[in-house]
Amino acid sequence: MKNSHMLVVLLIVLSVAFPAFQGMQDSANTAPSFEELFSGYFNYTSMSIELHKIASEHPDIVRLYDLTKNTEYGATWMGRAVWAVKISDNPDMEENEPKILVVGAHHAREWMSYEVPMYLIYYLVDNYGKPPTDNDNDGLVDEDPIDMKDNDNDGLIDEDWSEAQATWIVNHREIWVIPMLNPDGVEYDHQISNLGVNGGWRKNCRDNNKNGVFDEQFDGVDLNRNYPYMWARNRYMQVISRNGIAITADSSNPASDTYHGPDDNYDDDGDALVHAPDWFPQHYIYDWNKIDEDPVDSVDNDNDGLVDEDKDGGFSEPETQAIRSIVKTLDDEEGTGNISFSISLSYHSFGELIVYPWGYTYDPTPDDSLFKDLGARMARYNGYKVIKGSDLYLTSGDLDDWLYGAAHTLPFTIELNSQEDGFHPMPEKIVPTCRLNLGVNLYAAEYADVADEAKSINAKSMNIPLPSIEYEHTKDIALCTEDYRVVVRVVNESLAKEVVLWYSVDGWRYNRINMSSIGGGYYEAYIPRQEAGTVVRYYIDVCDSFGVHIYSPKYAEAEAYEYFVDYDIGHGPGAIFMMAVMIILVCGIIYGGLIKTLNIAIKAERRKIDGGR
Amino acid sequence: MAEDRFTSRWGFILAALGAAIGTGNIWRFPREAAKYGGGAFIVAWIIALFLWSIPLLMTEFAIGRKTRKSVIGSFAEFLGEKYVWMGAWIVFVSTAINFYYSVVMGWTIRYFFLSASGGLYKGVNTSSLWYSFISTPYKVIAFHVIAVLLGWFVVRRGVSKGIELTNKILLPSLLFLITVAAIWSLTLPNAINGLKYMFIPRVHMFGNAEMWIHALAQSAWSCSAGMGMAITYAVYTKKREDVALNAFIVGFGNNSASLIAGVAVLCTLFGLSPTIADAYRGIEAGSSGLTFIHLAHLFSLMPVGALIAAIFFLSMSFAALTSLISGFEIAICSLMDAGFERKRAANYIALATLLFGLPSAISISVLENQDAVWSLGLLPSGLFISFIAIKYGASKFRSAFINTEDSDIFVGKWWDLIICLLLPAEFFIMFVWFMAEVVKTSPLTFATLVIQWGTVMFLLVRFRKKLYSIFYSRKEGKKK
Repeated sequence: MKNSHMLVVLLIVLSVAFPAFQGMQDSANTAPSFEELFSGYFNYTSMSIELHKIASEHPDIVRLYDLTKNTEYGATWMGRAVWAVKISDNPDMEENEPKILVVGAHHAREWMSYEVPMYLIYYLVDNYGKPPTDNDNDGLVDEDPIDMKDNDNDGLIDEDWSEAQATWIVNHREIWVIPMLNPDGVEYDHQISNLGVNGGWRKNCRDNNKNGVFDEQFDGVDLNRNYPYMWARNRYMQVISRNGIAITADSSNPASDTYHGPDDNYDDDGDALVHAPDWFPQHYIYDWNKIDEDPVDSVDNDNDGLVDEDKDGGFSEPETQAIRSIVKTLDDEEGTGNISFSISLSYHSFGELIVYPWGYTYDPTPDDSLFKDLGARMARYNGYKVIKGSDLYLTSGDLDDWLYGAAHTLPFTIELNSQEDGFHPMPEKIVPTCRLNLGVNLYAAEYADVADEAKSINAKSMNIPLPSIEYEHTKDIALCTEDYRVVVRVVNESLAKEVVLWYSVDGWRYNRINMSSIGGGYYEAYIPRQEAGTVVRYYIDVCDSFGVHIYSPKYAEAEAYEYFVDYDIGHGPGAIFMMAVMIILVCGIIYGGLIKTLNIAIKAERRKIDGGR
Repeated sequence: MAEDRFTSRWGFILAALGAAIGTGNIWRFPREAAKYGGGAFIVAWIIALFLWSIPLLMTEFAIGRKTRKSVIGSFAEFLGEKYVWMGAWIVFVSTAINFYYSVVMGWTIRYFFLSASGGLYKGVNTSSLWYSFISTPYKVIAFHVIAVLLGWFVVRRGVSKGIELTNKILLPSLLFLITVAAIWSLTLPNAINGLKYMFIPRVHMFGNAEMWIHALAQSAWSCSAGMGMAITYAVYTKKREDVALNAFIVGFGNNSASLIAGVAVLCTLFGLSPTIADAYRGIEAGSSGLTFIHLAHLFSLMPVGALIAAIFFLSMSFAALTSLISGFEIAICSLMDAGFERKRAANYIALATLLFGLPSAISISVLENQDAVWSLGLLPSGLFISFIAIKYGASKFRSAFINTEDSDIFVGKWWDLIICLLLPAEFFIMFVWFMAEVVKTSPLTFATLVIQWGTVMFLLVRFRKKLYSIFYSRKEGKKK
């Protein structure tokens, strides 16, 4: 083959390889990869598929439940599921850690309200278990979290988030996310509504007039009026909403957008059945005074020793029953669940508000000041206005009033987006809104234990006295012949119940050392010497008597301090001398040998040439 | 017709050095040295140079120069039909290694272009860069093809115009480039840590068998001793060429290159990694992990680093190419003994490398398996070569073929002892050790090893008569 032919072949190959060259400039995309799923809205079907995928891909931290299986009807009115995702380590166990509830789409047309919870799910499972990563490879780690702000002033936004925080939250909390509480309503609204256009459907798809057909005019229940706490108290009230429109706070009229569902008319506690007199044809009669006689209002209305055990309304819908089936209340309501939630976030739109209880009365809750403070801290992330529910307008039977009144959870309602964005914002708004509110979810999860303690001591704010740790990790090499000394300063020492050092050798299980006080608030501990070549990771853990733990570094053990154990020929001047000696020796032998042999060869060649060989 | 030979002694030496100096010097030596006790490892490695590599190189140069026949032909000539399969084994193993070596060379070429075109900018995630490259078969294949074509282009032009010329250009270039990289790395902030980890002897390692074995293995594989390359290149030396001194020169030269590369790699790694634990992770990351993930990332951190990266990867590509062509030549030489013309033989070998290297290009697990299986095959190769000298009689062999009147230095009785006693013992120890490691880490890989080795050995031994007649006793065999 001639050279020219070969050149042709080479050219052909190069042209095929060129796309390979092109592909070489792989872009450093520092947005989370799952964000491409948020370029448009989910619907019930696509969301269900994704949730199943997530659950099967992350069996170590995710469990997927269809909560309607725990309800009277076994499904929503149209046969759909209410999916709940539990995200926690050891997800099959119930651990002694704070539980958070995040709910979206009570109302069908508030599409953004199910996107935000979905984003939270992806963020947590995607980042779980990943080490602190320099996502944007600028040498700094985790310096620009996802919150729509340029935290590190480098011109880029949200490009380096904290994986350790996500891991820590999943390990130390149980996060329950119900992205779409009202799937029937959402699917119906997807049929009738368009992007960018306001209006749309709000309720679920209950067949109110029982004619076998779903008809907008007659059917549907407003889920956020269907909770039994102070249910229907304000049913006759006309209120003026913030934008000056007169609306009904809560209505008994099935056609109304705020229809709270049918009366209960059921003897939940079974005390209405009384013996009939002997002459009565039936053996039992109903005492109508004993039906719905102890509504859910934290009062033992019928003086029978049980509180709120026979509600007068609420929980008539499979969707709200889904919530009931997991929430643990402090009263004797029937059909409630086992989980005591510390904080709950219920997403709605629109309004750009963070709303706290009460909704049914202008009176403040006992925790009013704590709500204001906690709300303000969450508002630092999304910039929304923090108001009391009744300041918006009076309602009755909403989720938050029930969670606070019956379960003593700290509940918030978050109204996403502004009035101009409306109920169906354009899809470009999804990622920014999700990013903006991610911090709210993470903050609530992270500080739920502090909130619990604040609530239990009736504190006025989240700023309760807590112990904390001052420590700077400086030594990242230790020798295999010495123990490693750690000295920390504990702030608010009197509140510290335990100060513990945890260390792990080469990725094995963490070992515990109780740190000893050496006075002045200082504590010390020694990590025993390890074999050379190992990497030791450690962190410090201080807790108070309530059980709130503070770690150093903050998200231990997802992040930890580490040091390398080196041989005992250390790094001092003796070692440097040894190194210099070796360099001279080795180079002497090798390069010396090379030069010497080359010299011999050169001389030999010259000899051979001269000798005329 | 002018015989196709090296035009001078230096041409031969440069070619042998080019064959010896490959990716193993650049990415394996620094890793092993840092991991196995720095100065201690280097001491053991130098000792291994004298107790394995140089004696074996001498044997090979002597064989090739005497028989002027390919590896297979040499075995036929020295040992007859009964043992010709040994020579075939050597050729097969080197060729099988070449199949995936071209894929590896493709990687280095890709990374050269990547860094030269600015692909290693600050902020790039080199880990995902590497993994996405590896998992995109067509990209890996493209560069594998380029590597094969480059090698083919060189070997079909013959010894003086192809191999010698290429090595004359590339070898000094690559040494220059890696020296530049080494000098740059010495200017880095914590470069001294690299030197510490490379040279400070961890004295207790001298009592560690694993260190000695790894030092022996590193010297063996790095010098390409006992692989058939030295026999093959010696075939093309001029009529009266020295054997012993050349072996020393190649040995020292190969080690010199390793030392420079060691400085370049370790001073960059320890100089730019944020903590020593991080640097250590780079060492534990394996050859490709260290080079294409950790080093690439570290290069990207410094403004001039992208240029140094290009220099580094270019020198790696040159080293790989000069080693690749030696692999080709071992097989081509054998084919020429069987009567094929060089150009024809080159076509066949290039095509075979292209095709049989595809599985390794498509799947990195295949590549790793082939690497595990066939690089160990070099151990028997070394044994077989020493077997020639042992069977002939070590002293006899030495006085007949090494201490010839063309020899520039005298090789004493020490060589006999090494060849007869030490070499087989070293082979045995290394063989058992590395086989045990394979079994321990992956019984599956061991199973594939046994199957592949068994099949090849069986076929070669079974058809040794055929091999003998094809590669040796041909009537119309071409004279060299």
